[in-house]
Amino acid sequence: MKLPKFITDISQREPKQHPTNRLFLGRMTILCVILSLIFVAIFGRMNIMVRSMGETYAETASNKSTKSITLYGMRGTIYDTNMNPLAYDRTSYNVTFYRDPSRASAADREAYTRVLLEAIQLIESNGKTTVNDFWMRKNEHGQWVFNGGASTDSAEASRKRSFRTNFSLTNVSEDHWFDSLLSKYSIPEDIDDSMKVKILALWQESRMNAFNSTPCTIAYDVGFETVSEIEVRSDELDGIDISESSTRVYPQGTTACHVVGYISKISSTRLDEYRAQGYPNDAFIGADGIEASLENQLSPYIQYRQGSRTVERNTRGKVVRDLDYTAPQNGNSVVLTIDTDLQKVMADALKSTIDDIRVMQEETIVNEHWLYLNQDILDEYEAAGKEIQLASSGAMVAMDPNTGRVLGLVSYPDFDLSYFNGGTISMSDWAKVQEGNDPLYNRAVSAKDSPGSIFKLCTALAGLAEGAITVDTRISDMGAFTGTGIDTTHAPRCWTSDINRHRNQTIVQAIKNSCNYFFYTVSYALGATNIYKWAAALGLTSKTNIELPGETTSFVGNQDMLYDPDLPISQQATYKPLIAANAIRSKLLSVGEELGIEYDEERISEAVKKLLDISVSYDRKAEWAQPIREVLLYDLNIPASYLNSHYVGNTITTYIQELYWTANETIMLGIGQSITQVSPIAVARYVSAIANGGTVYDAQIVDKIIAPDGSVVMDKEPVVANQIYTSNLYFEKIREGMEDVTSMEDGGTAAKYFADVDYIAAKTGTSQRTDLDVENNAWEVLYAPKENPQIVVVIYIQNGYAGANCSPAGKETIVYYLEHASRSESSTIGADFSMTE
Amino acid sequence: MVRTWIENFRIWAKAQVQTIVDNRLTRRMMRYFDWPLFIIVMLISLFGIVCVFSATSSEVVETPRSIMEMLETQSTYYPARQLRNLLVGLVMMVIFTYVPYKLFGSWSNGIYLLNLAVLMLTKLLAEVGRGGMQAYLRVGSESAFQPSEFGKVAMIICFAKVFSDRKKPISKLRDLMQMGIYMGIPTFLILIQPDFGTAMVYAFVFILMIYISGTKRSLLYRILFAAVLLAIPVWYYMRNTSSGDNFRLMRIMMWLHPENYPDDARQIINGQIAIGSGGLFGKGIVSPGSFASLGYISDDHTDFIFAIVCESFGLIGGLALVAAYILIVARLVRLALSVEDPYGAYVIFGVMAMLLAHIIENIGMVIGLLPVTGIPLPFVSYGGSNLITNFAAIGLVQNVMIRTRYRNRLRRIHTSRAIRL
Repeated sequence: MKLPKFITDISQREPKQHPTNRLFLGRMTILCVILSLIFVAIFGRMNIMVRSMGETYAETASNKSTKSITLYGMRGTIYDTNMNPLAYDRTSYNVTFYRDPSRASAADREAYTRVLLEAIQLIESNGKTTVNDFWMRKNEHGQWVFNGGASTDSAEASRKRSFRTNFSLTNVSEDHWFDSLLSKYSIPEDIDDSMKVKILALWQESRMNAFNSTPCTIAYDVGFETVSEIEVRSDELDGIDISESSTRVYPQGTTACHVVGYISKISSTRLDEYRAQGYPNDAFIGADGIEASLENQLSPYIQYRQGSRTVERNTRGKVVRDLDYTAPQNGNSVVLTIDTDLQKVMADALKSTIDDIRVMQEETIVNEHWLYLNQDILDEYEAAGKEIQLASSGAMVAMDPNTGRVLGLVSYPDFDLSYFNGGTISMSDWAKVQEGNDPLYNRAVSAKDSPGSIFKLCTALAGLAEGAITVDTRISDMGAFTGTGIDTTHAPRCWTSDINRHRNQTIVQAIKNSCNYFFYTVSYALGATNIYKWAAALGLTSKTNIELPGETTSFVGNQDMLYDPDLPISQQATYKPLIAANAIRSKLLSVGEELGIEYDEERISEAVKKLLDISVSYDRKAEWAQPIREVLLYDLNIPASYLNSHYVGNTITTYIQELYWTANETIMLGIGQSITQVSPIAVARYVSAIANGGTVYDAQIVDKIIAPDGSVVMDKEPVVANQIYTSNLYFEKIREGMEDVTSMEDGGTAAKYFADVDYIAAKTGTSQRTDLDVENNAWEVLYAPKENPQIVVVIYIQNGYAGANCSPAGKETIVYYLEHASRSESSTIGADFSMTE
Repeated sequence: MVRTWIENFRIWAKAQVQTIVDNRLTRRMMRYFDWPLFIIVMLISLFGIVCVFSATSSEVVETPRSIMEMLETQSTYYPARQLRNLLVGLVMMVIFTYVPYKLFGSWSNGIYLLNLAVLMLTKLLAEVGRGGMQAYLRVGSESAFQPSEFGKVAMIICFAKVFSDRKKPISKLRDLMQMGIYMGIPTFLILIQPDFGTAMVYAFVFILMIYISGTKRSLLYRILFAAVLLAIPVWYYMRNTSSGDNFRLMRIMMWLHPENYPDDARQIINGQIAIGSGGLFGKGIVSPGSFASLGYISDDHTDFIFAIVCESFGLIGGLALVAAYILIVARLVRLALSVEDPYGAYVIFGVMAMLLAHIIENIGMVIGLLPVTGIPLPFVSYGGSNLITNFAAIGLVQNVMIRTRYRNRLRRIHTSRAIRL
């Protein structure tokens, strides 16, 4: 083998030194060759790394060290009409934790655990709590088991998967997960279980966040003491930091709680839907009220409002410099039509009115005379274990009749929105909020009930407009109402005990007296179809489109509402078809059992449907017997002999006649009973239409939407849902009747409550629910002033005993509003004048 | 008895001092100082201080406009300490040049035992550091030294002495075993610290000496065969112990598939990214966005400094450094071959082997050719023990060169005089 030149040089120059040092030249040569190869490999590898893969590496390098952070602005503010904030975002401080990914040894974990423990103690000493949603719980046997708290099994399974991978528990059996975590994260043994769980909960947050290598939030909205303490101790609290965020604030407590609503975290079932719109997993969304219905306006999470910040971070996750920044946009603000002060007045008035009614009812039900009168019913109640229902809930809506704008909207009982500050609510607070008679339920838009006599305004308009009566028609109460198709065994009568008081009534007096006999007569003449037509025209069969979630659709009775053969039984307007269907089904099954015939589900359902349809297929009930018999004979193979001997047909008839619209139902419809159910908000616009002479507006609670820069995005104009074209005289007569209701000299139904005010018109409604009069629902509709009405108020009190009982609440609201409005109006008018000059 | 010992030691020490004085370096001898070697080493060391500065720099928003601004805004703690280490290293080099190298050889048994004693003491006294390693003895509050580093020079002297004392190459297994045990005891003491990297350096130096000393080829094959035989059970043992606990196996798995261990292999992955992203000319010493300043590579001022060299100075800088190392190695090979004294030749060869072990393993692990073991890059990595040791080794080489060349010259003069006479 030939030697490299420099070695041979040496050997040539100093040949004789060679043999003496005994280093083997040949081997040195081989060694040099091997070394050359090694250095060639090093050169080659470095060359490849830089020249061929350099660009990839450079890209990876910038991906590693830079991070794009999505930024979110603040959620929009909700203002009342006077720009008082009802909900707003304020800047807040969160505590975050970041684990340096290069520090992954057991000693590092132990150090971090110590830091977390100290952070928890620090935060708790200042009265705040850390995120504590650890996915393992102790079961009843004292074992620690996985509990991800997801609502569906599949979500739970996927949580378990991510828990297992993120905590590297793949090779650990589930029984040992908890112990394994305790030892892996060096959780001290001398602390109690709840503290162990708190620390592990934070580790869990950190592990679940590990993939996007950003700090995770471990405590929300901490105070300044915590912020300054953490900053002072930043050297020892390695990984703990402060981040700025925003927190929702509801400053008004219970006021307008049902209107404003609240925010919450996205539920796991709806996560995908929101993520598709660009929401992050931990975003807050409106869960009720305006917060929910105007989510798209308020939310800062909508894609185009998001900002972004590209930053360079060092290995500890600390931001070193900004590379790119796009400011996020705040959500739009919403201005409502309601007035906070009026809301307060209304809420207090409704509450005290309900309390007063309750006192009245409590006195009544111990009254001996009352007890004597209702002895039989009370016995029944006692036997069935039923309690007497007293007034405990209600709703009130105030509306501007000339625009459909909602001036105030309250539902009772209410709840304290301040529990929802920050968007998170503890389990105990959540329980507190829900205490009592379903306070979260917005009865003003979501509840519907039979209207009682407040419906008579509609019947009156229908009667006048359709020509069933004229403004001069006089009808006297004759006691029992009779007519073809009217049940004579329990003949319908007026509510009054002295029919002489309801003599020779015009429409005006009939409304004042709320005379049932008069309206029986009108309805009988009109027929259900005509009444329905006018109820629909007045907006009682459709939604008011108020910008609040959960609005129910009111409906007014007719044959289709009672039973619509084109709809499945489960989707009918009332429960009556379902009750009838179930009764028939069980009857048929028992017959089948007796005869030894097995009916399968499909066959029996088909037969039940056919039988129910008979109720609407014939003009007269007398024609039903034959088709019923045919169904029983041929579809169900019940022998004729059995039918004849057991009167099965008759039984079926009694069930399906519940679904048959009779003249009786028509006259009941006319006085607001029957199956009709209306919501307070629908009634508000119906009365508004009466008050304004026939314009039916959509209800409107959103006035304006304002962009963060102050520009108006949307200024909502009144929407006319329907314009009724008929003689204005009819409306005037109806209003005249309503005016008399509050008039002492005319002896109206609510007169005694309005002795001291003369500008309010009203109509009371008492709808019967059970045989006990104290359980009646109370309705009252009012408007004022008599000329040019400015405000319509609707009060609905469940089990309110009698409609007139609502009067104090209505009166207080109107008095406050008109006095307040006259003050503010004079000032605005002045301003207008000066502008035109 | 004790008195006799002390008296004997006094006499011995006096004799040693007398020898040193007798053989002191004269200005005439200094002509034989090997300047090329010293200059290359000094250049690399100064370059190393710059690299340490780069590696320990903190993040910047923009590139500093001047060196002054750079020095004002950045911490100079590590580079300053490294400069101090360099000065101590130069002193050490002078000492190891001054004391006649043969004297070290005559002390070899004492040195060997002293090394064992210090290593045992380290195992007993050292604090448990990273990875459960007990390798450092604390000196004051801010410093610690690593006895196994200094031990390397000790072992080079001992091995050189042992190999040069043999008249013939090793040809018997028994002799080889003896040698193996001689090397094995200190290596074992380092292995249980545990410091796998340094132990490997000991073994590497030893094996290269075995090889270069002309040991019988069949014995070399046997060593190779035994090593393979030993490796198989060790490998299976490591595989069967759970991977999380087995640090060594993890290192190998991480080397083969770094992408499977994003957390643990972060150092390797980020190191390679830094090299690749440095490009041809590098990002500069303190530059915004560099991994050096963002701290993405742990130990980037010590074991992983080669990644910073390449990131800051690019492929050109990296290759230049490797080229400089090749020059050192080549120079040492040439010097080793030029020395006629076997002991001196073995010393130089040992120093070369030691530096080679560090260079190949360190650069190899950073660029992903070899699994990671924690050993520094000579003259560049931050760390006093290593730098001082390397300068001591260079001093030893100078020592050998000066004295052998001087002796040659004397001999030549003598011969020529003789001829003239």
